[in-house]
Amino acid sequence: MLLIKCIFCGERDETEFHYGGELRDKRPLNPNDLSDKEWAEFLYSKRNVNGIHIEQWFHSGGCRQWFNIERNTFTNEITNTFNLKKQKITREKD
Amino acid sequence: MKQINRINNLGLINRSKLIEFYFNDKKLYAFEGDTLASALLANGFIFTSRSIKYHRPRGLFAHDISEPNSIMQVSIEDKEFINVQATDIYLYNNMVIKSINHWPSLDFDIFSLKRIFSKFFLPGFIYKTFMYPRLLWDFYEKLIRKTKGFGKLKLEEDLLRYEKKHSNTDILIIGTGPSAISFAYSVLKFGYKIIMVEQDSIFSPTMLDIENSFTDDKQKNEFSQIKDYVLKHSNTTILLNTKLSSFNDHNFSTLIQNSSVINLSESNYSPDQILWKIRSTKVVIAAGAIERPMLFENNDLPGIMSSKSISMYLNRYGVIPGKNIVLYTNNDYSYQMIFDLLKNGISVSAVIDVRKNINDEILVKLQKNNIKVILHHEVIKAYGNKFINKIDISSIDKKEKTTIKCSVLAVSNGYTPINQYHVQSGGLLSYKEEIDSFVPIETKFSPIHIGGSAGIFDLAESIKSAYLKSLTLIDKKMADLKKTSELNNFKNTNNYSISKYLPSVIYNMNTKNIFVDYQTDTSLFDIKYAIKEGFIFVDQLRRYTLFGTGIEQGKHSNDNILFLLADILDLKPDQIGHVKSRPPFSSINFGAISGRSNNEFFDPIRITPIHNWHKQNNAIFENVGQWKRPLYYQKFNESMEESVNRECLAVRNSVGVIDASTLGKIEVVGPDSIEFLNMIYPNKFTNMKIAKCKYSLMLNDEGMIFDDGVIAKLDENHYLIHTTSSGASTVLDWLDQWLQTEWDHFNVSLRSVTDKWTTISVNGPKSRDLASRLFENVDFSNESFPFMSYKETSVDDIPIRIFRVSFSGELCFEINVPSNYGQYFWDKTFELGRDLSIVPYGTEAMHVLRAEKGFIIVGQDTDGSVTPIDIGAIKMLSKSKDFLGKRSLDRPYFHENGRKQLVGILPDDFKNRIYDGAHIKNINDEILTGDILGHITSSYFSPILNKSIALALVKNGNAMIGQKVLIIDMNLNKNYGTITKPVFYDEKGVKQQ
Repeated sequence: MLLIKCIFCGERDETEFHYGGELRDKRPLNPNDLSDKEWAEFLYSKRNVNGIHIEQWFHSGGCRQWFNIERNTFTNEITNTFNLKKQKITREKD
Repeated sequence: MKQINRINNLGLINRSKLIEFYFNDKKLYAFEGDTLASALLANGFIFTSRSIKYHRPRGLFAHDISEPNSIMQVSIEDKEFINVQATDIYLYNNMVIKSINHWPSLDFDIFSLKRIFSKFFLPGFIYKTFMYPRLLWDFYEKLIRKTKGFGKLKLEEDLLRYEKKHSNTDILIIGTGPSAISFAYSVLKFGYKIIMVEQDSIFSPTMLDIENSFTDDKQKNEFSQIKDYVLKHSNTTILLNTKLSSFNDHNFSTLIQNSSVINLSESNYSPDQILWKIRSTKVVIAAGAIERPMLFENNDLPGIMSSKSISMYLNRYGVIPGKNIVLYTNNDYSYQMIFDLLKNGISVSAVIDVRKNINDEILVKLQKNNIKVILHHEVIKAYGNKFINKIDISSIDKKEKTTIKCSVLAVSNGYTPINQYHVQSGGLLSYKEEIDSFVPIETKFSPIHIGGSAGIFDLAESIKSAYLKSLTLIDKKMADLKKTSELNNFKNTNNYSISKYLPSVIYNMNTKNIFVDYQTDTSLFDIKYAIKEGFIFVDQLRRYTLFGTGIEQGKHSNDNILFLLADILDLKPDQIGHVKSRPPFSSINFGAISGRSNNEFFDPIRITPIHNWHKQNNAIFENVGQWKRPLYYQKFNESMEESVNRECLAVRNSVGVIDASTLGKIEVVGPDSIEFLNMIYPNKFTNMKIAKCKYSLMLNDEGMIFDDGVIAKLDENHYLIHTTSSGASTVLDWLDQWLQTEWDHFNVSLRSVTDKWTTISVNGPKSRDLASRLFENVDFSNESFPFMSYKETSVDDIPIRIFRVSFSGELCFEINVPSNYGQYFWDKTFELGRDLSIVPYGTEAMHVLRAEKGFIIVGQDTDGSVTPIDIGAIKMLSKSKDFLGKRSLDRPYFHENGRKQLVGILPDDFKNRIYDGAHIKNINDEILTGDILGHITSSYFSPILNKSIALALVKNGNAMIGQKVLIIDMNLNKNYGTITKPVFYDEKGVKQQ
């Protein structure tokens, strides 16, 4: 069971959280501009990294806030925890 | 009362308290503090069981949880324990112990003749033989099952009381041996808090036999002071009778306490077993190592024991297994057993060592005591019927052969460090030649291994190295400062060695009686056979031959088999990988895992404020998510069908009331609420007027229906959305996710108000009359309060919200009152409605009524692959705005032929309803031929129409309206029916208007 550091509440057991999957691209503002293939790519394709990736977590049994963590999917080491604002900066860098 | 193998004045047992127990109906005596194993051994019972496959006689091999043979069925008072290792449970007065795997008795077992047919018991025998004909397998299986398995399960409720405890600490140390004490001493000095875990009932039991091995008296004294320091320190917590069960991510450990102890107290408050969940910053494994058996013919005979275990039985329990003891070994460490025995005046008849040379000091000591030492020899074969009585030995070069008589053969084939916890959590092992074993490759995520678990078997060396390893936990400067500790003076002076030894017999033809895994009766022949069939990868080989799959999970056997596999394939041991062990480390009761989370504590139970009234009025409840909802109210001796029919007709003809408080209610507030709802729902909310209601489906971005409900506009920027009863929390999470992760520019806040309001839903032609009586100041006329609208009122400052919506197809007012007043208004409703023949109705009637109208239940008529287009709700999808699911639904596939569509079905046999889930086929098809076009999703008997009705999802269903179809239910009965529109009653919706 992971020990996850909520940016608002501190370190808590995994059971207090809901997993939100890996951080995906933002939902397009005009989905109709996308071709069927591009839309399917957005909806269903995951990077599925073996190593460090960023994922979303929801502190559903606590402050009910969403935040992001950087986790190594191979070792389960959590290397960083940050709020959604910072996530945007990372995204733009991508 | 005499215990023939007990030695006076030795061991940590309570000799003042004699205990009576029964082994296979024979009355025996032992002392308090004995385990079953030591008690049986004290009474001369080395032969304790029969093996599972060939029913060979087997005896005690080890003293701890690595014991493969002695599996017992134990009962005491009303408690029953199955499949317990005799070494893993303490003895109590009047305990009844039964050995297993034999008939009629342990001494004479009919099934042992099975050995004659042993050629039928090759690996994979059952699957290869009973595969054909396929239809007879059910018959074979019953027969085979009868001959398999260990103990007999009592099919009654588990009476043990289980508890869970959560804790945390800085450092969790598994084991209380010398290296654990050394580590603990060091980290306590740094101010860390520790929990030390010991599987025995006393602290540091291994110190007993180790104390002898301190060569230096000064160090011996020094170390006992260190031990006292650790024991008395306020930061030390000690858990006795506790085993680490699993080591998980981020240093989360589960431990089982008291699984070997029986709680005989009368109190209802003292738990039998406790499952600990401990989070620490570091876990230290100091659990030692397990001695491996030697391989030779009949190496499984009772009387062949681990040398280390003989030491333990002697020092811990004051028991020796027999008089004429011979040691057969490949290493210097095992000689400790002889010194322990000598100290108590017991001699050893001979020592057989496979090596050419052994440690000089040992040799001198042995010669001084006139012990015959036979070097460079191996044991070829053991003889004996139920006990070992002699062995054939031969020199390694096969030139000399002799026979030696013995009653106990102590064996030692090296030691396997406890590495299971490391492997459980994904760790890797490396082969270390000088100790001939696998040691953990530690990373920063794995536990720290010290002492025997790290492959360090020398006493002084393990004390010193554990101390040095503890320094890695602190920063460098501190560590340098601390290197001056007295623990640093402990030095390895022994130079003991282990030599790798595999018997030459492995290349013999007849290896059927050389057992590599005792518990699963896997012989060397089986391993070779499986390798010949191509099972050359460790875990394949394991599954095929079943080695290491029993109760002790191959703790004594895994490494031996790995070495054999490597040797046969001509590879090095570290080239073939290792067994992937999984938790739990030792067997654990299911009850301990569930703890108190069963029956009424399994999941929270949610009840509405009117629950007691429902109970008093004979409601039969059903579970809806965590909610308890009345299914129907039983009057007199009605059947369920009669009750439901009565309730349905009351709603259609007069007035019925249902407690709809469980409907999810979420308030949406904020200036961007409209935009938010426009995105969440396919309907458009832009022009919605205050006090209006709208029904909508909720879709995910894939375009599939996942919830539905009514949205009411309470005020400008203030909405109340309803969800299904079971979907309320999922929907709230879903909305929260979109608001926080995607649309954080929306100024909207959400609040769950499900429990704040009690919903009294008044349905039926007379509901307007009843509602007017309840709230005289409200105008309930159709003009003032039309369908799909909302009104607020108050009674003595109690706010009331009334929605005119309908899930029954009748005129309906959903009256919401604050939950504290729920019962009051409910009672008042029934009081005022008495002359209108008011009836309470439950969820079953609600379902019948909605099915008559073709209203769907999300999750029953839809299944996550159904779109609004499929259920004929295409008009709901706004064309002028984006919403979740819109882009997906724009894909042409969803508009093409071939999708399943929601239709109604009128069965030909109108009196009986068809089972839900029945398959639908073309009229000309048969039970086993033709494509399945779809299935029935809801099926009821409609009392108002006096016929059975059903909803179904059928491929191209809309185009098939009017056609007859074949319907096959799960009992393979053939039914026929006609496809109709999915609405059976009041198609135009006049009644609800």
